[in-house]
Amino acid sequence: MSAVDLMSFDHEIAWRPWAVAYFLLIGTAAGAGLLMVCTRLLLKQAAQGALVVAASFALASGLPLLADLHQPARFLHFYMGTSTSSIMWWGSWILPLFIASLLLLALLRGMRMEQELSGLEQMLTAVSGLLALCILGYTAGEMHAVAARPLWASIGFPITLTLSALMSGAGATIAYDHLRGVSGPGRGMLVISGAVTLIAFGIWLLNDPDLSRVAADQAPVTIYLVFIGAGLVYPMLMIAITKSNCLLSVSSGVAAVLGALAFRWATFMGAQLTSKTETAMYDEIHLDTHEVLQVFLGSAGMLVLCLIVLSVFLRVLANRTNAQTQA
Amino acid sequence: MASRREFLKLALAGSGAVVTTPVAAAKAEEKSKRWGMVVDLRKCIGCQACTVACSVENQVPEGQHRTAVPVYELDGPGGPSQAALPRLCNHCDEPPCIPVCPVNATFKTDQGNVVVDAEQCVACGYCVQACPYEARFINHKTGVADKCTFCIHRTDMGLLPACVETCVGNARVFGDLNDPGSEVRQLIASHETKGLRPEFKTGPNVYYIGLDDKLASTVSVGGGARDLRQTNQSAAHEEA
Repeated sequence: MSAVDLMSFDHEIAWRPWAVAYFLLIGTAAGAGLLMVCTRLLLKQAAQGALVVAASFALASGLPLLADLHQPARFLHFYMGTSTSSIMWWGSWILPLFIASLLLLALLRGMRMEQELSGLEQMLTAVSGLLALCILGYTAGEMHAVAARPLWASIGFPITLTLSALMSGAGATIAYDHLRGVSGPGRGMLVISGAVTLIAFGIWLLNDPDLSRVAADQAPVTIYLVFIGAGLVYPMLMIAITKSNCLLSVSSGVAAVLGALAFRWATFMGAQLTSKTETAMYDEIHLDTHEVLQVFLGSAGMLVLCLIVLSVFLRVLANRTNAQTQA
Repeated sequence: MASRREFLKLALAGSGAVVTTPVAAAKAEEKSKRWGMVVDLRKCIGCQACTVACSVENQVPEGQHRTAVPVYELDGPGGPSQAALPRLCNHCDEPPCIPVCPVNATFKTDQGNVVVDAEQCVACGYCVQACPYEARFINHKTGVADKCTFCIHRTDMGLLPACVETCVGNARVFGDLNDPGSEVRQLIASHETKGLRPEFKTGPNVYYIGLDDKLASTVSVGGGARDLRQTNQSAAHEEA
């Protein structure tokens, strides 16, 4: 301590809880998208669940993204000029392309029920994989580029953010597949990404004074415990132990998503509560406020709606295709 | 021999040149200006007159500030001392807030003012995150990014920024950094000046005289006003 502040001034957190929801949904979508691409192209399996999860999460991410803009009606301004120096501008192009590629792929898959890959599907799958990597790159890079926030600008942050997105994508896919009574892919990806996340986060926590300070001062320790315990260790153990237990598999998948949420909440909100000049006073956003409830219910509601609509749409499409084939 | 039409063309061009030359010269002179500010901390008493004048002039919503003067207690060899540090946008030469803007809503004018186009801004808050001086915020009233403009609407009319005009101790001095005869240039030449957060290499155009090293970079504070307010807020939240 070198000074005592006798007079401080109020500031407000600029990226509200909607940003946390957006980064969770789009990260999970990218993770599930990559799982779908690997399963489809390398293992030559259907990966229908991963595709539906990726498309639904990506589609639902539009709501928190727009809600986080203080001028949502002006979102077209992103497309009315070029700002190549801004990673966010690149993201504004990558996101709709990613969503479109996943929806097209889902449509194509619904219309063609055979297992073998067509040329178009193969190409679209590869494009989706590439765009999923771009999503992971842009979300991590967008925050890593903010030098004024040492926590985000550290090496550990983009790595942990990306790894936790992979884990969340695998977790969401496992939960969705088991809920519809299918044993799909994702177990290996969940265990590997969880273990690597745990190691990366541990090294980062031990080596970065900013993270340990934020963990100690700004973000409730319980959030980190949720991230490490429920988000990383529990799913890895359960997936490794159980093979086909539906309840445990679903709970493991949901826990992995919640872990990714806890990490984003702790690092997004914790970093923003830290004054860059040690002068501003930031009002903490508590988890039990109406704003947070609105964010979680709104995002979850949008996600469930997208999952239901997409699942039903694909089922109807598949039935119609089957009927036409039989006729 | 020139025809009548050519003669008229030449005559018109000549008269135009006579009329526009002073305007063009004034524009060129205006363009060659580079605004900057010197804050003499030896004269600042932390009265907040500048904070209030700025808020009134720019209609900044209650609880938000384009400039403010936090006050610190510093430990020194002679015992504790009080230091007031006026903070505002530094109108940097390399502003980190500009390249991150996804819609080109924030830019530097020819005179070096970093400004926001309120009609273009989508209020994504990225510039607020990128500014190391905490000089930007999302305005409650307008719903877009807001910051100090060096009172561009006043300086364009030949007036001083509101904070400079109101400063009772003449601690804030504003002028053209390109003019060797300006007061700011003379103050910079005759005093040791420092900028805030030099580690970010932003090239700030706000210069401080008498800035304590403890306040130049990351300030490590504790046990002060914020701690007390945070404790009170936490207690109030728990009660609620």
